[in-house]
Formats: sequence, C-alpha cells, structure tokens
Amino acid sequence: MKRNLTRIAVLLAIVMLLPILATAHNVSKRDATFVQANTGAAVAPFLYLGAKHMVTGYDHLLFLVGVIFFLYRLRDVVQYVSLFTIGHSLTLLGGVLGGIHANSYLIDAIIGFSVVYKAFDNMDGFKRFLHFQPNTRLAVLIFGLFHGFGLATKLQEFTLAQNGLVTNIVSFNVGVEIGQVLALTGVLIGLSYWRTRPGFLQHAFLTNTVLMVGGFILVGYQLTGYFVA
Amino acid sequence: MNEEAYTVTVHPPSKKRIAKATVAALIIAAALLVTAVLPAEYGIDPVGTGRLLRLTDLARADAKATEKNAVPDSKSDEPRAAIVPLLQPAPDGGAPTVKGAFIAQSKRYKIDSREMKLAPGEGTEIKYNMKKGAGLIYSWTASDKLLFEFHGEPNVKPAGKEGTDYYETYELDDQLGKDQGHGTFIAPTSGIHGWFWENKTGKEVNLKLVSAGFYDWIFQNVKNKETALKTMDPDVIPSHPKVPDEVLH
Repeated sequence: MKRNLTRIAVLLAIVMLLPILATAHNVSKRDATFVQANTGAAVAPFLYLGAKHMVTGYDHLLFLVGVIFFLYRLRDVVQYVSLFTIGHSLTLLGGVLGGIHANSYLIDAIIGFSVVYKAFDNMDGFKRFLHFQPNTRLAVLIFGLFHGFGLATKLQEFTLAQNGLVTNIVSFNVGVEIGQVLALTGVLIGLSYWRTRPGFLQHAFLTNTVLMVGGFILVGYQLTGYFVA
Repeated sequence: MNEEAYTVTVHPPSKKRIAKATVAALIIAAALLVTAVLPAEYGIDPVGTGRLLRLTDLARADAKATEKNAVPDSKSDEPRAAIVPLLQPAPDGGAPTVKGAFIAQSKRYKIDSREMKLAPGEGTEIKYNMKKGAGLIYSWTASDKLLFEFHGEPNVKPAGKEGTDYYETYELDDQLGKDQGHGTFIAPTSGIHGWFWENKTGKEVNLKLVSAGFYDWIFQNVKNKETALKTMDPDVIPSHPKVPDEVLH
C-alpha cells in the first residue's frame, strides 16, 4: 500500500510539473533566432530541432504512452507508431508547404483531447458505454494528423526562408521521427519493466486516469490561451 | 508474477468505475488548472492561490523578461511590447531622440492598400488588429475634407467598462476635418486601432489608405456592416516591385 502511495505521488508530481515544463515545449528563443536568421538548406540543425521538439514535447509523448500502453508485441507497437508517423508527417509537410495556418491553441487543445480520448479508450470506456470499440488504428491515424498540424504551427511561427524550404521541413520531420524513436525507446523500456511487476494491471487503470488528468489540463490550458491571448 | 494480478483483466472495469475515474480526472484537472496552471501561465488567478503561492510571479516574470530582452516571447505567438520608446528632448531644443530604438517582432509585417468612396453623410471605419507594442506606418488621403477620429478598442476593457463599446481616442477632428493624415503609431493596447471617417460635404469623397504594420487582420465597418478582412504579405504582391537604382547623389 505504501508503495502504491509513492507511485501515485510520483505520477501526480509529474502532472503538476507539466506546466513548468511547458516552456520546453516550444522552439526556444535561441533556436527561434536561428530559424529566422537561417537562409538556405540546413539539414543538421533542422534535424536536431525536430528531434528536440519531440523529446521535450510532452503532449505528443503523453499520447504515445497512451497508444502503446496495452501493446505488448513489438509488431503492434511498430504498426501503431507508423500510423501516427504517417498522420503527422502528412499534415506537417502539407501544412507548412501548403501554407495552411491553423490556430496553434486550438490544435494543441485537440492534441490534449487526444490524450483524454486514448486514456478513456484504455479504460475500456468506449466498450462499456458505447458497446463498441472505435477503430483504434484509425483513431491513431486521425489524431496523428492533428499532431502534425501542431508541429506545423510551431514551425510556421517563424518566417521560413523559401530557399531550401523543402529540405529544411523534411529535415525537421525526420528529426521528429528520430526524437520519437528515442523517446519511445525510453517509454517502452519503462513500460516493459513495469509490466513484469505484479502491480501493473492494478495500476493500469489509475495510470490512465492520471493520463486523462494530464490531457484535461492541456485542453484547459490551451483553450484558455485561445481566449485570452 | 502471481495469478491474482491477471484476474483484473478477467473483470474489466465497470461502467461506474470508468465514469467515476473520468469525472475525478476532470475535477482534478480543473482544480490544478484553476489553482496552478492559469495563475502561473497567464496570471489569471480566480481563487487567489496564484497570489498565495506566488505562482502569478511566474507569469509576470515572463512579461518582464520580454520587456528587458526586447525579444518577442516565443512561448506564445504573441509579440509583446518589448520596450516603450522613450522620447527625450534634445538639450539644444532640437528633435527628440528615441531611446529604446526598436521593438522586435516574430512575424513579418503586413501591408494594406484600399480605396473607398464615401457618399455625402456616410461614415466608414478601418481598424487594424494589433498586439500591444506593434507598430503601424500609415498614410491616408482624401479628395475632400473628412471628419475623422483615430482611435482604438482594447481587447481588455478597463474595470467597469467590460461589455461596453469602450474606445480610446488618439486624434479627433470633428469640426473642420482634414483631407490627409500620415504617421507612425505604436499600439498602446492589444486590440483594434484605426479610423472612423465621416463625409460631411455635399458630394462623394474618395479616400485612399495605405499602411504597413504588424497587424494580422483588418476590421472594416461599411454601412454598419462589420467584416474582418485579410491582410497582404509584402512578399506576395503580384510582380513584387523592384526599386530601380536611381542615383540621388
């Protein structure tokens, strides 16, 4: 029981820390200066920025934790993550190249909602309340599209030089995937270890509740931003 | 690993448990949002915990840091006023010098150029949506004298004026009128800033307005019909003009 309480405390602490980590989520000031001053193709810096954004982008990570939470086989993990990747790559490239400007607060609110959705799904909420299971692969693909718009709006906050634009966006996108693999490896190692512990399934429900709290906070945080900023 | 752990999967969570957890998650999220996130991120402090825990200092520190650094805040996409230009009269009585010479912005400026016909007695309005500290450079010329008021409607109205059509006047000429106005303007508040013109002459007046500035959309009020108009990016003007090298000296 004592161990459980410690776990709950740690999880709550992580949720409490989310807003403090929030500054890490956007492209930092120094990086922003680079992006704007940059004219021409710069593969490595954009690779790095993409990877950094994903590793420090806790909203994308929370969603991925939700997605792979109950995936035990590596084949499934690869399949779902690929769907997510296809989704966000499409809108990242399409959004920036096509000049589609979405409101970043609304997109980030939808991304927060995707966390809530996945947590509810993991709790078996849809099966219980709607008596059917919405296609999980399709959901991951669709939310991937929104996550991609989120990535696109982060890049679009800056005036990107037309020179080398495609190279830079593709580099950013590849960087995002590298960051995603890095972050996922960490999450998978943690989850795999946890699954071998007897407490996993008992705490699975609680963990998804905490995940949902995080999602709701993101939604509230972004929607408030939309209305006041 | 014991057998008991797996019995949990055999009995999936009940409807009641899921509903309880979802409502609990919503309540906890709302509580954290109101007591911690909103005070720290936006300085919004509905229950006073932000002041108590000094979380609102975070939001203020954020605003202060941008003031000091003269760098737009990359956290939100809102370019805040980095510095307030301070006019200092020159000791010899000459032109004032500006201390704090520039306000950096995170986005490219926009341009606007329009021509409007005002029938006798007709009034029209053009305002630019600008964040506090955003700059505008403008010129309007008219074929005859127009009464006008250069004014702004802040997004956040002062206490007690919420919900009213409160505005602040920058320049007013409701007596003789003018046939032109040119200037630079730095938005004192986030909101829409611009002109109301009125044609008190007996004939149609043609009004031309050109501007460049850090606005993101244009408010237009013609014949009491309010519309938000798109701006133009200076780089996408058809056949982007190239200034020829004409030697002056």
